[in-house]
Amino acid sequence: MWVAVTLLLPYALLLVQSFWHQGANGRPTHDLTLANYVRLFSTSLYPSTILYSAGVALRVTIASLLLAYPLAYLLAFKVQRHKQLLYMAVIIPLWVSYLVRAYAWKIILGQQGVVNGILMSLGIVHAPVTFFLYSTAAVVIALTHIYTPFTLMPIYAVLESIPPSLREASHDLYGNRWRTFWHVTLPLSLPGVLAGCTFAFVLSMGDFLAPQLLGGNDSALMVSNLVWSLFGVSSDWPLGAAVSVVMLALTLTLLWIANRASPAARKYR
Amino acid sequence: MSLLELRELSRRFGDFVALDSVNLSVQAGEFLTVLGASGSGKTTTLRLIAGFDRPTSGSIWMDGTDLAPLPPFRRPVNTVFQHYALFPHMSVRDNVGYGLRMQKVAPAEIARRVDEALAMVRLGDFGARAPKQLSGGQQQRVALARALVNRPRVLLLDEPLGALDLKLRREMQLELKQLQTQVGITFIYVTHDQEEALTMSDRIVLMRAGRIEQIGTPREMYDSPRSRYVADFIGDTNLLRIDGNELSVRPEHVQLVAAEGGAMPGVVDAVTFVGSTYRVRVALADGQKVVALQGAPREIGQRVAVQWDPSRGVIVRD
Amino acid sequence: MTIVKRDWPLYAYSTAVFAFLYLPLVVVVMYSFHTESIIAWPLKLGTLKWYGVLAHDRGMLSATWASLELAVMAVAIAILVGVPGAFVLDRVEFPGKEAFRQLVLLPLILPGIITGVALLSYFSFLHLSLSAGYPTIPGWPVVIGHGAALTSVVVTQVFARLQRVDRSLEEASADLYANPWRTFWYVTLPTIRTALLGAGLLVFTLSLDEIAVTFFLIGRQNTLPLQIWGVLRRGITPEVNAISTLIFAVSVVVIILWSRLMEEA
Repeated sequence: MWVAVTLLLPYALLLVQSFWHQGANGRPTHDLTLANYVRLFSTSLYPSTILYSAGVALRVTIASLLLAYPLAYLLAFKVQRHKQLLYMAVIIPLWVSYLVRAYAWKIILGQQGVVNGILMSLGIVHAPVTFFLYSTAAVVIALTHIYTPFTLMPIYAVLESIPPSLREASHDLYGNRWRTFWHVTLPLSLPGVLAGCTFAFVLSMGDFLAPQLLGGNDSALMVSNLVWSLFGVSSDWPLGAAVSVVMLALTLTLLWIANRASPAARKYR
Repeated sequence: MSLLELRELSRRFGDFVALDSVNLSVQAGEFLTVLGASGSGKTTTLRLIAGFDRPTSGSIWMDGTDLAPLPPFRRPVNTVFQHYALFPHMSVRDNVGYGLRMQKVAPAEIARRVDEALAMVRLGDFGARAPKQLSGGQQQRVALARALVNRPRVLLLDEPLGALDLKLRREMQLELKQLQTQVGITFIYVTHDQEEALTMSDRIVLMRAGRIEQIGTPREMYDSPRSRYVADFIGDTNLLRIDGNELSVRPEHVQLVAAEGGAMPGVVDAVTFVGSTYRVRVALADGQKVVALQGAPREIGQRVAVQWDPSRGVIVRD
Repeated sequence: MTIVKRDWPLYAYSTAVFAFLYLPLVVVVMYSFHTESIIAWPLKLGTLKWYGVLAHDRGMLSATWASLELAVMAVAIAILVGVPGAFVLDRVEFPGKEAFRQLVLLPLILPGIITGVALLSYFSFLHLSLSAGYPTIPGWPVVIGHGAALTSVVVTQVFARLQRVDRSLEEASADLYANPWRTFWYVTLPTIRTALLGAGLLVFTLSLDEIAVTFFLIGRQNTLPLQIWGVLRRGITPEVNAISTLIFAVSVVVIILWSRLMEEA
């Protein structure tokens, strides 16, 4: 029993802490107040940043899905011999430091970067294109690159678990390849798709590194960057805490929704 | 003399009664089969004797001690599991020697007894292999050796032959029986296969819905079933209502004679070839069906009469 | 592998995705051999000098050392707390178990920043200095922070494996005169061993790469990611390419190790 307590402790502390923050006024005092939340919701900066982050996350999720699904499909159904190897190859980027991967995009997209260099030597443009880097697009691209393997994993797992006899049955009953996919494979893969998208969305929305490196100082701030600065430079811990709590609530809600939707997706299994 | 006694043994799971006040006396050195359909309580009985489960009430007596409160590792009883439960990360030798190791037997002694046990199941050269390199039949023999090497008072076998194909199963049945006679240990064998029970047992305990339906030697169970359930479960039989009695007649005892003058006339309505004989089904005038075993087929639609030696008909209660 | 003709769009697309996944990494590796000190196109291969610069960079070296220490300790904590936790989750019934099971996943899904911030407040509430324990260890708060955040990795991995453990193996062990402790040691543990090692490896890697939580809880000594981060903020130097390439190489080795372990499952 003591084990359960030991285990619970760190998490309980984490959660309690967040709640405890719900209000302290200034750092020296510990009075509870809702002033922080009021400020949060009334200053346009915060809600708009949250919306912006959600927008970025959405784009990343869609892009990841479009990239991950076909690849997962290929791996699950079309590859026999080197399946393990290829799957590993897809997973490897995940294990390479996050920092490295985000930073790499700086080299590629920068004014003197690879993309610009190639475009210029091909004569397509005559001056470096500036909007590649330090823009929302850069952030979305980098985050997609980072989180696509995350999206792929659950989709692959689900596709792998579909018994081949189901697809064979569909073919036996005169379903062509497209119909089989649409009516059989796709519905059965939905739980995995849901899981993958949830990961991608939640993780991208809370990301702070990519925006900092690639977003530029003003144009692409996301929520986590706000929290960062509130706890760091601006030194307004209570407000930062309030923002964190809101983020926490949002994330938990999203997870809860995904959880509820999952049985519906699972109904097909 | 009685080696193991179950007294008023019961096991409930909430509202579900798996075992209902079962009383059973197991004789030393016998091959006892606990037979029954799924849910009859046979596996529950085994698990209670082994110690993997605690009874809701009742006791299990061996050598003057109630085993019921003891954990499995304190009981002089060993089990052969349905799916063998061989430790995948250990070699065959290490598997077989595991129990001895746990009892702190000296290494030299362990090696000797393991060799002996492996030889007994004819797997002497397989010591160094890993379980997954063995076939089902071989794994099963390792499981057997692993249990027997500890010289338990009672060996429990939980449907050990279920995963094997027919031919192999028949071979193993004979082997197990020979082994048991040779080693002299009491075997309690659980199965749902009545043919298996008839082949191997000294006595059969037929269970149904948590209670013992009948106990007896295979011959007794076959020739003198006490209830409709037993007659139907063990072997094939014809159950007929005649003069207000329920009668059980085995197909091999049914004779087909000429229709004229026969006491029970009917029409052949199905003939099935089963290799060594034909199963001929006759529909009687009152609608009941009788199956007879015949050496030669009959024509469908042929008129015949059925009869049997009265001593072969057994009156059964429900 | 037989390629069916009509599937070629799928193959082409997948290859493109693969290329996309690897492009940045390839670029970084190539630029680590770039002869100019400014990272620009075109690429001029041909030197190892950045690796040399790296080898003499005191800051990087001590940061690497600190990261390793931290990772090892994080693994230790995660295993010590996580394994019993996984067992409790698997074997024991207690009120609120379902909720707890979801809760365990939280640190993994939540933005690291939130975890970091919460822990920071907690430690400051306790008036615990961020440099406590320096220089033997990078600092108690950061060690505890990593441990707490990464314990869930161990719990989920070990729990998943425990669920697949064949109960009859443990019954067989008990049947063969092993008491519960010995059953755990001789039978259960070897069966979950690969999951445990895999989880440990995962925790190690995640700890090395950890930025968010670390940033808030670190004391005087930087960890490797933070050190690189600092350099990046001041502007890119080719040295960063060198260290990134090294990190990439190490990661590849780690993941090959990990998949070997997983294969045994």
